[in-house]
Formats: sequence, C-alpha cells, structure tokens
Amino acid sequence: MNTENNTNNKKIALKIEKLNKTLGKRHILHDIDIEAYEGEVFGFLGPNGAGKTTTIKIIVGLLSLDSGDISIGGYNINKNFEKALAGIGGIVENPEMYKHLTGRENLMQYARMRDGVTKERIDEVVELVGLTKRIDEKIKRYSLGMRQRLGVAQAILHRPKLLILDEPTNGLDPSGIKELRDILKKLAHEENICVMVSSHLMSEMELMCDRVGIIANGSIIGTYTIEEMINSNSNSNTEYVLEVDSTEKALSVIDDKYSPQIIDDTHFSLSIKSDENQKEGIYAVNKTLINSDIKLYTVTHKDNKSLEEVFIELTELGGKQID
Amino acid sequence: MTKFLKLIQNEYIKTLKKTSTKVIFVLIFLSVFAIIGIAKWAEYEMQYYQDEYMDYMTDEIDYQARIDELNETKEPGYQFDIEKLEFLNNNKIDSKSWRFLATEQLFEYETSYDENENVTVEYVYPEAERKMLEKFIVNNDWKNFCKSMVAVMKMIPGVTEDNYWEYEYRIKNDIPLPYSVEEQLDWRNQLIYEVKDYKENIANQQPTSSLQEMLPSGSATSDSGKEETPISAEANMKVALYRLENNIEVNVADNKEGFEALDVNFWSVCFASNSLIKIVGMLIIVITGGALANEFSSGTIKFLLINPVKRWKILLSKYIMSITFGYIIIFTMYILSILLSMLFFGTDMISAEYISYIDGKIVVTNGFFELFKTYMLSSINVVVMATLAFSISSLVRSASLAIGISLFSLLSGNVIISILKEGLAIDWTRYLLFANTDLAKIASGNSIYTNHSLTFAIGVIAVHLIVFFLIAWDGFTRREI
Repeated sequence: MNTENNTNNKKIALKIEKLNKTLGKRHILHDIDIEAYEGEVFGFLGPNGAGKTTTIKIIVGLLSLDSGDISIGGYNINKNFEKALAGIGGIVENPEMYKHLTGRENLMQYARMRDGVTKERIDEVVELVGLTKRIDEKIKRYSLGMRQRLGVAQAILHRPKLLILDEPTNGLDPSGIKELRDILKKLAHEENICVMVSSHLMSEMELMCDRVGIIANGSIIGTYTIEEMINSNSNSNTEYVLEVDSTEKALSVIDDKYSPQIIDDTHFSLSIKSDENQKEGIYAVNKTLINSDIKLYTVTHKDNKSLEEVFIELTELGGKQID
Repeated sequence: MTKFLKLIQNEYIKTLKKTSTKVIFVLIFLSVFAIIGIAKWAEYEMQYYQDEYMDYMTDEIDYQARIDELNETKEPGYQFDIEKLEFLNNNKIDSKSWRFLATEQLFEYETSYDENENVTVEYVYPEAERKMLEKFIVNNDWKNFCKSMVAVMKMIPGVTEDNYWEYEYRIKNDIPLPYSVEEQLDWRNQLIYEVKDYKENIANQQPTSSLQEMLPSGSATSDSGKEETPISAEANMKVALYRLENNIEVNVADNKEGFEALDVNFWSVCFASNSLIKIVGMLIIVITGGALANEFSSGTIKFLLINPVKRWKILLSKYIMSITFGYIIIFTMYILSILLSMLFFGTDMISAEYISYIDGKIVVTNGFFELFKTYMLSSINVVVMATLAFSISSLVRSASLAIGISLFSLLSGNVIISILKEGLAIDWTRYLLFANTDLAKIASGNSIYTNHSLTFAIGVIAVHLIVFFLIAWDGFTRREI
C-alpha cells in the first residue's frame, strides 16, 4: 500500500511526526504520523474514542503536545504559532457560535482576527455555503445544519491552506451532507487546499475522500487511497446479489465454488474470489443461468458493506496490537 | 497593534450585544435617577424638620413661669437666675435675639463649695461692668456691647484673646449679632460660631461651653456629629476664617460626604452619586465573569483559540475591555449625575470651589475636579472587582460560579475586615485587599486603621491585582481546552 505515486508532486499541507499525548494517566496518542497534501480531501477515520478529536485539537493549538512535531504549511506549531495557525481553518467538535450575534456578526468576529478578509470575501463565503438569505439572523434561530454551514464559512474565510473539520456531517440531513461533500471536494480540487475530515463512518469517507488515514486506540494503522482500500480486500470475496424467478432452480445449476446462499424465493447471493477476474466470473454465472432457462432480473454488487468491514477489521486489528 | 485593537473591538461587540449588558446600562441609569429621587425626598424631609425647628425656636419663653419654678426648687444660685429672668422679662427681650444670649452670658455665675459644704455663688462679671453692659442690651446696641465686652473680658484673669475673638471680629467687619433664628442660621454667623467654638475650646480646654450648646448646630457647619481630631478641627477653623475673609458662601468640601453632609444641594447630591460606584463594581463582575467564562461554557472558546492569535493577547483584550468598560460606565455616571443634579437642584452653586487646609496651607481647587478625583479613587474598587472576577472565571470556567464567588467576596470582604479589625482588633488585616479598597475614605483620613496612607493602600491593591492577573494568565494560557 503505497501512496507515493499519488502524491509525489504535491505540497505537504500538514505534517505530523511522532506525536504523543497523555491526558491524565491515559496515554491517548502513540507516535502519530500523518502527512496530508494540498488539493486532496484527507479522511481521518477511526471509531469513537480513537483519538481523532484529540489529534485535531493538538493541530489547531487547543491542546499542547507532549512530544513530536507538527508543521502546517512549513511552519512549526510550537515555534511559529501565529504563522502556523494563520494557515488553518477548522471546526472542532460542534460548530459553537455566539448565539446573541447574527451570522454575519459572527463571521466579522473571525474576520477581525485573521488577515486579508474583506467584506466581499465574507459575502463570497456565505454564498458558497448557501446562507445568503439567513446570514443576518441571530444564531439562536439557526438549525444545527445552518450552524454547521456557518462553521464551514468561518473556517474557510481566510483562505486557509489546511481546512480541518471534525465530524462535519453530524446533524446534517442527507441533502445537506451531499452539499457539504460537494463544497469540500470543490475546495480541495479547485482551490487546491488540503481538507482534513474526521469521521467514524467509512461510507461517508468513501464518497468524499481521496485518501484516508485510519486511527484506532491512539495509533495510526495506515494511510490508504480509496482504491487501495477497495483493492486491499484481498482475502475477502466480492459479493453479488442476484434476482431470479426461482432460487431453487438457480442454485441447482450454479457452481459451488461461488458459495451461493439463498436469501429468499427470488434472491440469492454468491461470491467471486478476488483473485479471479470479476467480470469473467459474473459473465460465467449469467451464461449458466440463461442456458438453464432461468430468468435473471438483476445483479447487484455488494462492495459497500465489505469496505465498512475492512475498516472494522483494520481498527480491531489496531486495537489488538495496542493492548 | 491594529490587530490587538480589533481583538478589543471584538470583545466590545460581544459584550454590548448581550442582553445582560443592556440590562446593566438600564440599571445604572435607574440608580442615578434613584439617587436624585432620594435626594429630592431628603430635601423635602429636611425642609419639614427645619420648619419644625424654627417653630420650636420661635416659641416664646415664659420667663414668669420659670421664675415661679425656681422659687419652688431653690437650687443654689437660684436668686441669680431669677435676677436674670426678671431682667429678661422686664425688658421684653426676645429669646431669639442676640440680646437673650448676651444676657445669659452676662448673668453667668460660678458656684463653689468650701470645706463645710457651704455654698458660695458669685457672678463671673463684676457688678459695675455688668450694669454698663446691661444698658447696651436694653438699648439694643450690639456694637457698643461688643466693644465693652472685649474691654471687660480683658480684665478677667485667665481670659485670652481667643475668648473674645467673636466680638472683635464683628466690630472689625461690621457683622451684627443676630436678631433672629434666620440670622443665626446665616452662613456668616455659622462660620463665626465655628471659629469661636474652636478658639474657645482651645482657650478653655473643655469640650463645649454652655453658651455654645444653646446655639443651633448649623447646616453650614459640617461634622457637628463627629468627634474631631485637633488637626481636622484646626483645619476646619482655618477654612472657616478664609471663607469669612474672602466672602465665600459655599465650600464644596462641606458636601463631600454626600448625604451625610446634612445638606441637600447640587454638590452633596453629586458626591452622594459617587457611592453608586459600588453598584458598578457588582455589575462589572457580571460583565467580566461572563466575558471569559461564557466562552468556556458555550464552547465558543474553541473557535476563539483556533485563530492565529496568541492566547495571552486574547486574555489581555478581554481584560482591557472589562476595565475600560467599567470606566465608561463611571464617566457616564459622572456626567449624568452632574447634569441631573443641575436639573433638579439648580445651577447657582456650580461655580463654587473646593477649599481645604492641607499641610498648613489653604488650598482652593475646582469643585468638579475634586468630584472627579473622588470618582477616580472609588473606581479602584471596580478595577479590583473586575480583576478578581477575571481571575476566578479563568480558574473555574463557569460564568455563574465566577460571578457568585466574586460577588460573595465583594459583599463579605468588607464585613469580615471590619469584624476582624473593629471586633477582634487584629491590626495585620490592613494588609488584606478589602481593608484597602475604599480609597476615597482612606484619602480623607477616615480609615479604621491608624496611619493608613493612600500609598500603602495602593501598594496593597497593586500586589493583589498582580497576583489575580497572574492566576488568570497562568490558568488561561496553559489550559487544555
């Protein structure tokens, strides 16, 4: 699993080396190493309590680090705090805003603390997150989704090179999630910024990210591109669900190497080993069914589930390594 | 620097848009109006008591009834009193005029006892002189009475210049002895009594002469209820003399105690409004406690601190906001109370000056300047409270807890100090913060501690403020959010 060919000629936006953190008696982060590049959406994936938020808080300067180095756009966070932080925009945990101020007044607060944010830039950002009509309302009248949008607006106000969003889809409805996804992809791919998104949902990451770093129990398990994740599925098989007129008849003709399993009268599943040619395999099954005069209505690929399973497998593996 | 000013601007916007801040502004305005209202009511009450007093004073004394009474009791020297009362009765002397008081003085007698308990009663003034002076009283000739009185008193052994100062002064400056209660209450006569009182006390080395007790304790003479130290009594006399010589009716310094000054006028109301600064202290706790702790409790602190600004700058901007906000409220109060006092108590006193006697010299300063100075001395309390609330809110991160603890220490601090000092006589409590926060009181020399100087108080406060600020600083800059 090598990411070099993908990111060879891109600038490093965030570099974390050997980061360790202890809170109280708990050793929360163990030798975290992360590199994220400009122009990509980097998923930071891990189950609840794995250390995602702690890592993010250390990157944005809310927590101190025990050992290790973090540099943002080439500036070390300890030695050059103000310059390093000038290159970051972010939402940590929930998007908490000043409830007694309007959306615009909130953005103005952040604009005054950062360089080069004009009134036009505020309008532009508000337009981008789709809040133009509601921006002069007080935050206490905002829904969680609207606050999340305002949080994104706040984070990208000063055109940061690194945008860090901690579980940004929390509380958003499906269409909101899709819009946010599109915004983030656009920011990464068109404005060439590094978007780092944390989540505990693999399915979400898959649709949004170019690469994911997986963390479990405070250790980085690995960094993968989405393709690698899918292909890394080597020891599991690709599953298909087929709809036919009669599963009984179908099963009598299908080769056992596909390990077919009945779901109900008209549906059954089979799996094709990943070392075989997937397309040839499914063609062979089709041909058998049609030759046996069995009516085949649909063939559905079941890869989503397996990616989620890869994730769970990986993080559980990580858990075992630590304890 | 511009960036830092923008941080302060941010803090101001956040604070000013809060409902609690608006409520506080309304409360401040209301409290200034309340002071004016109380003053108006006090003025009305005072007028009522003054009328009562005048009625009482103008009651005719029934001389004949007193003579009958004395004939019954036959106390030693009763014949002397009867002689005096008959003189008053025969000459129809009005008990409100100087002639009554002069008669009282003239017929003064001394009672002495020998070894055998025999009583000897003697007139203080010799017979011949008494007869001469009686004539002036009968003829209502205050000038000649004064002149002769001086001459007579000079002959009495043990009598010094201080005893007859009043008569000489009246002749020299042509100020008649008063004929009525109204005249007695005139500011000039009140000042003369004040000087005379002081001089006679020095001369006789006794608290108050019987003659003085009969005089109305005036409105213009302040501090009549207080025990005076010799220094402040001398200062008061020097100031009174200065005013007599320069014909100055109003001294702003007489009103610096606010409503305790026993007179309700433009200046006493202005000085009384200074006591509202304590309320400002409480309100500033609410603002300061909220400015820091609300960021924690609402979670906005995370969004504040991910900005490219060092934490100490954010902390300092909040602190500066609190302090300057407190001063803005105080300035508003200063202007507002002056304007409202002018509106309700007239403008005829506003050109009056503040006359005081400091280090052997008469010092004359502008009244508004002295009022401002008092405000500024009291404002230290606000700074102390803001810093305390700031340090606590940095530690506990909860606005309500920070405000609660600060208010508790504000309210109980002074009480505990006065219990420790005045109840248990623990003198080292002078090193504690709350023993030093009332700078206006310390500056005027009315502290409960002896030798309590302003420099000492400011030093103690400065040490406390630095400690509070360092606690806030440490708590905030090292805090893991």
